[in-house]
Amino acid sequence: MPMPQLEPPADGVSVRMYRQGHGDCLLLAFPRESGGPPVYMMVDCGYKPGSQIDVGARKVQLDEVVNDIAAATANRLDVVAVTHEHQDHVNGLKKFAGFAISEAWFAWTEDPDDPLAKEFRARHQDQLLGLIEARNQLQMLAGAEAEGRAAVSRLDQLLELEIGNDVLLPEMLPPAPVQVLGFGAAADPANSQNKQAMKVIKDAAGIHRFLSPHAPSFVLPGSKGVRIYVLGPPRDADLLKDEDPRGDAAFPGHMALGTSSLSFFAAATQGTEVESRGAPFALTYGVAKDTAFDESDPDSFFRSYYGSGPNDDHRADETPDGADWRRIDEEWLYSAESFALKLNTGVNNTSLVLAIELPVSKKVLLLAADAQYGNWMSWDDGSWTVAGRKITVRDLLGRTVLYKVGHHGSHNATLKGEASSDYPNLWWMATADGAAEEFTAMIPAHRDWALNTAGWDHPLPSIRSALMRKAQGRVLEIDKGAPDRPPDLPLPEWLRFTGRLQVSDLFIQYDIEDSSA
Amino acid sequence: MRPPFPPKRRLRCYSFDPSLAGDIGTWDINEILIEIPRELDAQGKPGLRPGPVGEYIEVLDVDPASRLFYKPVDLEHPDILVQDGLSASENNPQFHQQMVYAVAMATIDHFENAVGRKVLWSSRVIRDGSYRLQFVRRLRIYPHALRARNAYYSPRKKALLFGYFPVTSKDKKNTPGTTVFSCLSHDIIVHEMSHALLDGVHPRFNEPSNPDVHAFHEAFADIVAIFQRFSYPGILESQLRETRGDLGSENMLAQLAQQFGRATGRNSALRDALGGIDPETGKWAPRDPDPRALEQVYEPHKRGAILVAAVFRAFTLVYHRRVADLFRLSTGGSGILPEGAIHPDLVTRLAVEARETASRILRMCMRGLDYCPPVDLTFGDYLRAVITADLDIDPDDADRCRVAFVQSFREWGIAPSGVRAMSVDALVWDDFETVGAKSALRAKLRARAPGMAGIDARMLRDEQDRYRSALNSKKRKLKSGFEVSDEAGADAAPGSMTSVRADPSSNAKRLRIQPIRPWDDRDLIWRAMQESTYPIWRWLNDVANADIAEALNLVLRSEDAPRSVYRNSSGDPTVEVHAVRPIQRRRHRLSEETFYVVEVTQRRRGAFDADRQRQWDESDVYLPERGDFTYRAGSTFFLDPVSFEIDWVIPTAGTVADDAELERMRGFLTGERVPRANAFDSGLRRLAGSPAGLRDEPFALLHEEP
Repeated sequence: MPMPQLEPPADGVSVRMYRQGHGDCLLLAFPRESGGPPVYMMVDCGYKPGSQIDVGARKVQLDEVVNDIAAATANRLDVVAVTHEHQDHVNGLKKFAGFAISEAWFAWTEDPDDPLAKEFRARHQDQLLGLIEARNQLQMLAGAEAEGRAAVSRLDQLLELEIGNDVLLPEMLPPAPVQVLGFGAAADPANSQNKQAMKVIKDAAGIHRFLSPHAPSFVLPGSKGVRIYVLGPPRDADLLKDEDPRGDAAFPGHMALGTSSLSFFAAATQGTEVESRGAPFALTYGVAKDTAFDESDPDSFFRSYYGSGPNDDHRADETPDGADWRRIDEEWLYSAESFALKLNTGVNNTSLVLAIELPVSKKVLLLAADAQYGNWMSWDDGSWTVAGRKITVRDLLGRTVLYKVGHHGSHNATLKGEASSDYPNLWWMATADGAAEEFTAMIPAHRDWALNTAGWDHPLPSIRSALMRKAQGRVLEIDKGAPDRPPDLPLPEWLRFTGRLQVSDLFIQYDIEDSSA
Repeated sequence: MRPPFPPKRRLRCYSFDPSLAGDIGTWDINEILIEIPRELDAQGKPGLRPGPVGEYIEVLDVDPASRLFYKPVDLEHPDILVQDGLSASENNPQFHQQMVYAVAMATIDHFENAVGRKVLWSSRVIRDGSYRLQFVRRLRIYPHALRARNAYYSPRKKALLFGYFPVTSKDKKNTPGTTVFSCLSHDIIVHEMSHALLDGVHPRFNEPSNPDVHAFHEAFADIVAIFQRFSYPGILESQLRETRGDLGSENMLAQLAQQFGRATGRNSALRDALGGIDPETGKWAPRDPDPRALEQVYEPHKRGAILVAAVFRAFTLVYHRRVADLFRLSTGGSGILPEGAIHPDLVTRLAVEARETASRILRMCMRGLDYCPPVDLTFGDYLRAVITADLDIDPDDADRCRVAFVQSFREWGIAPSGVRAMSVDALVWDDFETVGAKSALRAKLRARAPGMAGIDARMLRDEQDRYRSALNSKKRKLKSGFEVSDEAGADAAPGSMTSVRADPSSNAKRLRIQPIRPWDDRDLIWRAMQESTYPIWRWLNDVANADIAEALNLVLRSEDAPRSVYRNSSGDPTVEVHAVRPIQRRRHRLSEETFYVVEVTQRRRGAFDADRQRQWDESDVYLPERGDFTYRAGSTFFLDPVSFEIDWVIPTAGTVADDAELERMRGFLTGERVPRANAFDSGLRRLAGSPAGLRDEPFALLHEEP
């Protein structure tokens, strides 16, 4: 049965959040200025492999989603916005080669001619290479034991987000040399699955836009005056140079020890063939492994105390010198996980964050991609002027009636605060007249998969409940389908909301009116 | 006879870290001489081996990331001996080895002086079908183990791992491309050592069952790092000059890890017990006690910082009380100092007062460890522990240190639950008879026996008498010891904890509570302590002693325990004896007594889902070997190894049968007061069940620097 095209209300916008799994895929439809087919805008298309949701006794497949988008748009997309280079936002894009795409939008960090962006990308790639090497070494040294295997598998979850290849987790594979495990030479970050998927969109699109925060706002081409404001990612050279931002304020390049021969990454990428990988001290103090364990030296200090072979401690009730369980050969590699987390945060902070303002009612849709703390904190660093009037972030957030929740509702990706806080946060949203009664949130997360399979607390219950309160139950979640009415909300008010809602196996569609009344 | 060798050795160290040598204002105090005991071998000759490898510590300089080993320093080499060790240098790994050894030994020395016994590291636990413990003679130190902004104590490797990392920031204090070695920070070394020392006393303090447990580990480590510094010459005097005698104003003594803090994007030291940079003004400002601070802070370091601030405030209260007269004397009675530098003699006298006060405060904090409940410590419990411990060693308290603790903790909102008043006498733990009597009377009140008007002093006295005579009639059995039999061994009581080894020669041996003799042989002490756990374990696993156990906050009768409690093969709840260790008390001047501190706990399977818990407890569904988490309860008690009297009993908040406490722990583990380290973190759920494959390094994550 041919599916009908997606038609937005005559005065308004339709927003579809697809249910392909833990990841983002939004399709927006706006009335066209000249009449005719609507203006279609897609924001991201991806999911974590394995995270498909069960609807109607089956798992929703990406192909079904792509087919639906094809039918809904007649294979024509006015804009594809790619927010950032993570698997769960881009791995579906490779299926869009056959679409007619007018414009592709990226964050300024993707701009091939921008020197700062180039530096970011180079560092991201260096670090990724280092992490892949560290992961492979950890697999080799500790992969035989349960905890090493678990660490590698957690690391793989994170590296897969960066690279995009959906390899089997190593614990599902028989013991094998590292090279076959998908993160060997085949996984060249410069030509990763993520990059290939993004290239499909670049190749298909006639126009590429690289968007910078607080640059002049512009009208969505073809629309009746829908205005686009770019809030992030921050463009701050300081992030790269002097300051060393901590934790969630990071950008790729910030643990950026790539330039020093004494960094974790330098050690990891040296590979296993080289004897020494650069040491923090003059060579006169160093002893190579062979010398340290020299069999001909009866007093070998390291052989006595560090030990080199297996160690039988099943009889003694005192720990022997040189006990094997006290060695630390692979301990340093476990840091890879925390470096991978930082890299992940850094890339999330390169997220393209858009505020979309409807022409008549001036309502705002806020699409936060995977922005975390550092990205959020920069939104208010600038403002816009439209028709002589100054537009601030507080103003845009105040008029927000639809919020695509940052980073699947994770920790530090929806900032908590108060209306009086001096940084953008949830309580800045929907403060304008009438906005609170309409404010709705969309969370693209598969909670059960995230918590039980990946071990990720998405969405964080405290953020979810804050959204529930703020939106009076109008929280749309891909894994839950239609939301329940909060007991204290009057039925007529709830029906006004559900009347604009349409839930299918493949998507949750929500319409927003844009009229002057 | 005098030992033929000098009993002390002096070694050069950085006083804080290498950053002080790069600033003309602090250059003079950047290096110090630390005096530590000279290690002698069995023949009384200098016995420190290259490494250094001594009695307590082995420094192994392995750098796996660089694929190198660094030659061990030989501190007995005459060339090194004559110059008090190698001079401070970032570029010589052998100096790094010397510094970690020196600072570690100084920390051990402080600890032994405070608690009055030899330091023992936590035993290695081997689960190979049976359950065995191994004596770990030496803590291992790896000065260059990691390339990360991290340093941690590994409880399972019995080792400290220090990281190093290149600096990426460029500002007045940092040069990109240089390297920060965490093993050259005095504070980081003492901090990690304190984790190891605390783990040697309380291995269960790694199990977060409430927000204070991990925070306490961090706070204790920082307290030791701060107060140990007062013992070194030079630094204290310089800071007294800088602050003109006011140690409550900004000074380096209260600040931790200067270089590390600055190299990781802060504009200041990693932590400061007195205040911090005000973001508005950019200037340092003191932090006033805030009785509500604990209500909002759950991240372990930040929460721990509140305890550190409370202890530091207790110190300043005592110090200012002790030096008020010196200020009056030196100012003609006004107590108001004129402008300018203070007199060098005054500096010297103030330093004496500050040093003595700091040493006393540190001793109180260290001795307090033995007076803590065996699991689930809260800051409030720790206050009671410190107060009771101090009463046991210095009944007079001429300096009013205990009052200062109570005042400061009250001002910081740290209060134990269930005490009548925030006063010294109300905070002292109860003794055996009183704990038993109170719990019996509480049970009576709950049952509301008909005709019972209320509870009065006589009823309390009667109950106390009852418990005293119960103990008197039953202690003979404990005294005579128990035969080791297969039947009662660890295998017959799954999951129970005895330390009797599967040594065939110990079969059919009668084990009694062992005396400690000699006091300086750590191996023999360890063995005596292990053997002493067995008779106590047998005694407390006998249902006939259920009334004694009740006063020790234990549940022995099967019908009193929910089904999810761990049981032995005969179906009775098991009791685990976690530790026995000697402690010196001086309750009366001139007389010293040795007591044994005994920790006993019981275990219960906890489910994250309350309905599942109810099924486990109320129906006969299959009980898994492990729950989602383990709820523990019990007590620490003080046993006289000669008279077999029991003195202090320090219970956990509930017994193993207490559903409300179990629910509180579940709420904590699954709730959101547990801070998330990053966007993918699922909080303590990941630690609690310890599913196979989880990396058991509680401090590696906790100490990771973003």
